[in-house]
Amino acid sequence: MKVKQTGKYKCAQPKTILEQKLIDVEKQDKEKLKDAYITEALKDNLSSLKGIFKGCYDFSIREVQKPEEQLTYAICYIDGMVDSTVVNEMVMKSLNHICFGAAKDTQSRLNIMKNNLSSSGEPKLVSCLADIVSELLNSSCIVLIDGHSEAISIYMEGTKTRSITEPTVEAVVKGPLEAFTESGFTSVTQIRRRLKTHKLKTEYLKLGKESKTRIVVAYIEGIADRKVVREVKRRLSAIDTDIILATGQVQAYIEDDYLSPFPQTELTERPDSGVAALVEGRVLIIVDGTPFILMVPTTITYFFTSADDYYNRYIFASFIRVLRYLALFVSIFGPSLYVAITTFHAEMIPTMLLMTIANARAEVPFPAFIEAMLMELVFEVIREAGARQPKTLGQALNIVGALVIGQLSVQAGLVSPAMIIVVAVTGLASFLIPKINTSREVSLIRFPMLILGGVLGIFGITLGVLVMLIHLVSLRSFGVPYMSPITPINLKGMKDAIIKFPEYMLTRRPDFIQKNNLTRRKEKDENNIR
Amino acid sequence: MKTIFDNKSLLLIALVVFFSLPLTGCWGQGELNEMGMVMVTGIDRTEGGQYKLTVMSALPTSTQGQQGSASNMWIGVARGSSVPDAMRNLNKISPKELTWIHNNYVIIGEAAAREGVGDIMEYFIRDWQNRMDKFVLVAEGEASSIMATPADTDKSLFRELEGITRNSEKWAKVYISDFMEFMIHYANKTCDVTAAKIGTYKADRTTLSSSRSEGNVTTGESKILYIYGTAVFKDGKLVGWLDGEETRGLQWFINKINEANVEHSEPEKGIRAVMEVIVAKCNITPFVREGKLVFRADVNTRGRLIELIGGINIMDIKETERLEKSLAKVIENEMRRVFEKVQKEYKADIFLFGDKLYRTKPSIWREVEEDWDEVFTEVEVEYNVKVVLRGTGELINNIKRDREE
Repeated sequence: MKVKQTGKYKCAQPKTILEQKLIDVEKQDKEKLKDAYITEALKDNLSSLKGIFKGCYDFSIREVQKPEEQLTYAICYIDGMVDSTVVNEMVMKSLNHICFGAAKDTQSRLNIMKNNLSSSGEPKLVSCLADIVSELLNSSCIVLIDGHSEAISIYMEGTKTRSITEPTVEAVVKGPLEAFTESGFTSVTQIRRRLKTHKLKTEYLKLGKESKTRIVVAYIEGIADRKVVREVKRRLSAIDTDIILATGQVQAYIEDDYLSPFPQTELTERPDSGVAALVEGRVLIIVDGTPFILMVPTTITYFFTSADDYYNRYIFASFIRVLRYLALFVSIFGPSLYVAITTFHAEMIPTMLLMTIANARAEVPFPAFIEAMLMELVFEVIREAGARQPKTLGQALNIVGALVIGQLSVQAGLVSPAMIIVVAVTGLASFLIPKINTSREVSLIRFPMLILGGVLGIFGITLGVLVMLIHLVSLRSFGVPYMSPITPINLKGMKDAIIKFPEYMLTRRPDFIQKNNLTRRKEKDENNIR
Repeated sequence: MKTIFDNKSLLLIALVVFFSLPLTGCWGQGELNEMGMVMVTGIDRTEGGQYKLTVMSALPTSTQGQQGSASNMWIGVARGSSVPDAMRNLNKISPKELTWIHNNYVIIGEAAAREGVGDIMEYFIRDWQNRMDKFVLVAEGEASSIMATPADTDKSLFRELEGITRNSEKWAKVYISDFMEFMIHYANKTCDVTAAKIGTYKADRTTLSSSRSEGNVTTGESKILYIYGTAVFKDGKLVGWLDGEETRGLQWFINKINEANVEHSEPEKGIRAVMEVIVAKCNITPFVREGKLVFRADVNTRGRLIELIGGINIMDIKETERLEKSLAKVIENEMRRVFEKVQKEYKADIFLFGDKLYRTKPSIWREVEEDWDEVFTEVEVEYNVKVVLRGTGELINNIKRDREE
């Protein structure tokens, strides 16, 4: 019983003395830095910086003396974060050729230095030690000058990033073949290049106590709902965690219902999709470090939308969309309906089809439910193996997946061919949903459905559907009902939901996202052809 | 979300719900490979007053490996004091759990039908497993012997039955009624019931398909299954049969003609004209004339010529009209023949006259309701058949006739 007493709430209670001490030291450090300012003595400043970056081998200091101008200065930067060739070429050179002339007082000398440094970036004056440290960590180069209690900071990012490549997840047939990269700044540029308006606002904040990840909130002023923008910022700034590495983590923090299997934020890796979302009045959240950005608010219809829909003619786009809705239905209810109908409602199947299925199942030793559960799990195993394997193992995986499991299990009489077909169709159907992260999560609903269908038949599935629908209609994404425009019904919004109307008929932006500015183009305009 | 439930009790509730699901024992659940799907049920009456039930059931058999297409039909026979009792008794011999959810045919043996069909069908109507869109057939002879007929081309007799049922819409010499129609007519005191007749005959094997089983090669003869003609019931008891032409005659009355041929021939002139019916509509109007109940049957038929032999000039409107009149006469004779036979011989109102009277002239019906059986044998029928020829097919006149001229 003693164990129980100490068990549950131990973590919340004050720590050991050692832990408490560490926390105090940390706090003191922070406070010390906040109030600490650099002094006029370069030596002191350098030693305090060295103290802070003790044990960081990539922290570089270059001290330069220029006796003819009575100037002693030091350039500090973190190697790698700042391009050292730029430091050599620009900063050192411009400071080498400096000539103060008649200027003697400290202020004018500082101004001359600042002007000279403008050639290599935007110089900023900093004096607080905490600011200097954060500037250094943010790919800036700091120039400390002897005899000045202010330092000059120049931002010069020199980090190596991946070059822009083709989208890997959201491939399109026609349309731009460009995806975001890990660099948040490049992502913003990619958006800006497609949206040449000053109304595109990109607000910037840092998240993560340790990682200090840069996060950009982008929206179009005048289109995006102000309340949504404010809410996005509020939720983002409320994130109080140590590290943010990828968009997925942010997603988990800002979703309305984080337990739901239906994601209420949309991921994309395509700049064109992002721009389209912006113009509809949605807000983008760009996280530095992942090639995926978040789009909010989102509704269920967006998960059936691919960028390709807008680059194809409306007939094909509409057909594919209807097919995607069907595919979602199949991927959720395929195996459960099969099991429920064959084991509980055999009278629903036409006689001849029933005989075919029954003959196929004649030698199978498992009940249909167990059989379906097994095969679905096997399918998930193959899928996960395919996603995580090194690329060189592809062939072996194909052989194991297709041959051993597909063919041999049927030949051995462990699984009926009909079940293989059901599982295969279900699996294929789940790939039809263009937002791949979504489709994988949502198609997992088929497991609880399978249990319900296997235990209670279609009655059970109906119960499951009811629960799912009740959940869906109660779900909201940043205040927007998740099922809109289907319910609450919005006929104008339906023009671009289940069926995509021809482009010239889409004269209004979806008004369930925002209501500020709905006109894409005037419906009757002499400039329009129609 | 501070509710009365904390996380622990919520988890507990979820677990209780989850674990109670399997406790339902999967009620109503059954694996396909453990079921024997009864496709055809035959019912006979034995001399001891017992019911003899013959079922033809499909047993799931693996199609893998074995190339030969052996029939996977299982035929079982059981006796019992009632139909459900006989069904239970089948468990004595059945290798699988028999279900009637796909029971497509109920074949009633002649002896059983003569004793009364209602007591047999009661079970099939009441039981949830049987659907209203399945078919009732009456066997000439014993149902069990018909079900023992070896299948001809298909793997099972059931498939043959299905094919014949589909084809029955293509000609008018048989009409297969489903449970629903059969029982509505049976329950209705204004009319009597009919059902299609099923039987077998022996025929020379050489004219038939080669897939007939080996055992019949030496005899050169084999049993062929047919569905043709009609069984006539009077008060739910079989009283007699109608042949094909008579069945067609009956169907003119009850508006069941879907596709049919009407043939007019004058052998002495070498004339033969065959019309295919496109639309046939019969309207029956009861009225009283000189104290006698008369039913006027207005038949309006549209059709097209599908055969024309001899010297009729179809381009001549007068000759066409004459042809139409003689075709109408053919239909009228057909109707008259069957009506007189049924009225005199079987005294069964299978033409739904009572029903018509009840619907259109309820006051008269109420007067004759008590002794409709006698009144029916006295009623007169006025025939008013109209035929309109629409289209002559790919030809106009007979090819030979044009050459001779």
